[in-house]
Amino acid sequence: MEIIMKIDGLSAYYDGKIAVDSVSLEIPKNRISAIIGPSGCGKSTLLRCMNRMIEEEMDTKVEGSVYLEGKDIASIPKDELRRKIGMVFQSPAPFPFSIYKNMTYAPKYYGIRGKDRLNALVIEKLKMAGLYDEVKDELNKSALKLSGGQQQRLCIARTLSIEPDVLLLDEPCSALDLGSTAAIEKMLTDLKELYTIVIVTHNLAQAKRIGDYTAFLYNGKLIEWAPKDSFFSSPSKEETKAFLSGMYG
Amino acid sequence: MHTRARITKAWAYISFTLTVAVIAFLFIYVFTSGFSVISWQFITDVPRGSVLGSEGGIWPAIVGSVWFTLTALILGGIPAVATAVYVVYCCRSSWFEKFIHTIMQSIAGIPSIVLGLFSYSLLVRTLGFGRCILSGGIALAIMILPFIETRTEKAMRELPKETIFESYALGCSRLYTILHIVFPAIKGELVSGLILGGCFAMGATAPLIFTGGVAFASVPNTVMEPAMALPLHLYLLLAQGTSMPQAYGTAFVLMLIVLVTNIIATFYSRRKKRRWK
Ligand SMILES: Nc1ncnc2c1ncn2[C@@H]1O[C@H](COP(=O)(O)OP(=O)(O)OP(=O)(O)O)[C@@H](O)[C@H]1O
Ligand SMILES: [Mg+2]
Repeated sequence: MEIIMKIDGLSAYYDGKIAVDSVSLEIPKNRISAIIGPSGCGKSTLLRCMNRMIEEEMDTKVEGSVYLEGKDIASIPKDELRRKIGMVFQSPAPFPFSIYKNMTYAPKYYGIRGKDRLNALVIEKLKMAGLYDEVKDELNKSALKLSGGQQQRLCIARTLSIEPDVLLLDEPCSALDLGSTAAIEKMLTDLKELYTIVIVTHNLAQAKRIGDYTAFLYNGKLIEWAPKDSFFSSPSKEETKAFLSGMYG
Repeated sequence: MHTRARITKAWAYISFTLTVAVIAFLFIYVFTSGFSVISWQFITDVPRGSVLGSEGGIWPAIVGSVWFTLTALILGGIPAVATAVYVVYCCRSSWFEKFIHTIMQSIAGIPSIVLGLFSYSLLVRTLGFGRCILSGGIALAIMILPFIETRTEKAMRELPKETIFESYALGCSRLYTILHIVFPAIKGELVSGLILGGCFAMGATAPLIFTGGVAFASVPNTVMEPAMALPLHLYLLLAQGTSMPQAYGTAFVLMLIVLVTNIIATFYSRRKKRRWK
């Protein structure tokens, strides 16, 4: 098993308050790693450390290191790093432009020009995220007029538009119905041939369905990290057992 | 409880009516008193008469005011917008942010005559700029800087933080994000803030008295020349008792310019705002 990202003794603080507490973790390449844990346990913060988005927040401090293909991400320029590690946020925020412009915003930044090339890219990625059929006739409509679930899929498509190697997804299905969730799950399962996926989810069943590995975070600490089967069938820690039996969160 | 609510309501209505009435009276009074002297010639002619200004027009004062205002807008607007961008998008410490806000509030609290005095002693005398549009424009620029900064910052903060972060998360640089997301989104408020700041500068007299505004000058050609300004001209006409009708005429023109630009600014920012709602 090839390791694409390595998290080594990572701690993160907001205003001096610890949110992620010495987490060490190895993310396998071309697999889906699911992160679960109760609300406020630091899942989003852990993701933010992996593409250095944490640095955009006020008064934060990070200790420890994260490596991407053996290279410390602190030494990789932010734009290069974030092009390789795409992120979909917990609450989707489309840009206040048309759907089409949302999709071409980042590719244009990376110098992709030409109408045909951009059109093809927009269509390909919208199809991947399962949004194309619904919006194909109104690509010039304001993205803010889409429904919550459509916005979520647009944000996934937008992140795919930069063709990252690693995809960080923070509860990408929270505003979706069963049908769209199933479609996204199928897409993620298909995509793992090409990408490495890290997904935060509140939904244990989802982690079980699509994850290859599962991490359980509690109070900022990594309690357990194991291949899915052993994680769900024979968790080794008491906290994990309690969480899986629905005692917290 | 009922009577209390009724009294509050009545009080609100009375205050509202009173405010509107005072403003309406002011406008109507100045407009009717000034309307008699208003003519094409009044606008396009230079001041004339045995006591300069008792006859003739105010063209150099109109042009001078425009020069002062534009100078102030360029010299005040650019640092104001840059400060707002820095505070909202670059500053990573809440301590420094508070520090900048304190400075802005302090500048906003400086009486405008003190700004004039400062500009006079530093620019006109010590640095030897002399009395000129630049010296006066800088005093006005300092005066409107906090006004524009506050408005721009407020507009920027109203944008959802997530939208900006999404752009960063796509790897796009701060500059690209600000140019392609922030500015287009706040364009209406930015332009209206600048226009209102300009109106604020155009109406100010005190910062010009020692620094660049003069009783009489021809239409300026460069910013290193002194110039007339509408509010200063008005002040002098009144203070020296030169001519009441001329003074009302000047006030009429000044208020008309400010009113029209205000209306334009309001409509512009409304229209821009509505587009993405
Ligand atoms: N921007 C921030 N400023 C200050 N504290 C924060 C910030 N973001 C998160 N925190 C704190 O850090 C801790 C971890 O938050 P985080 O968002 O990572 O949790 P989470 O596991 O993603 O929760 P959820 O499942 O509810 O999304 C929480 O205690 C939270 O209050
Ligand atoms: Mg979260």
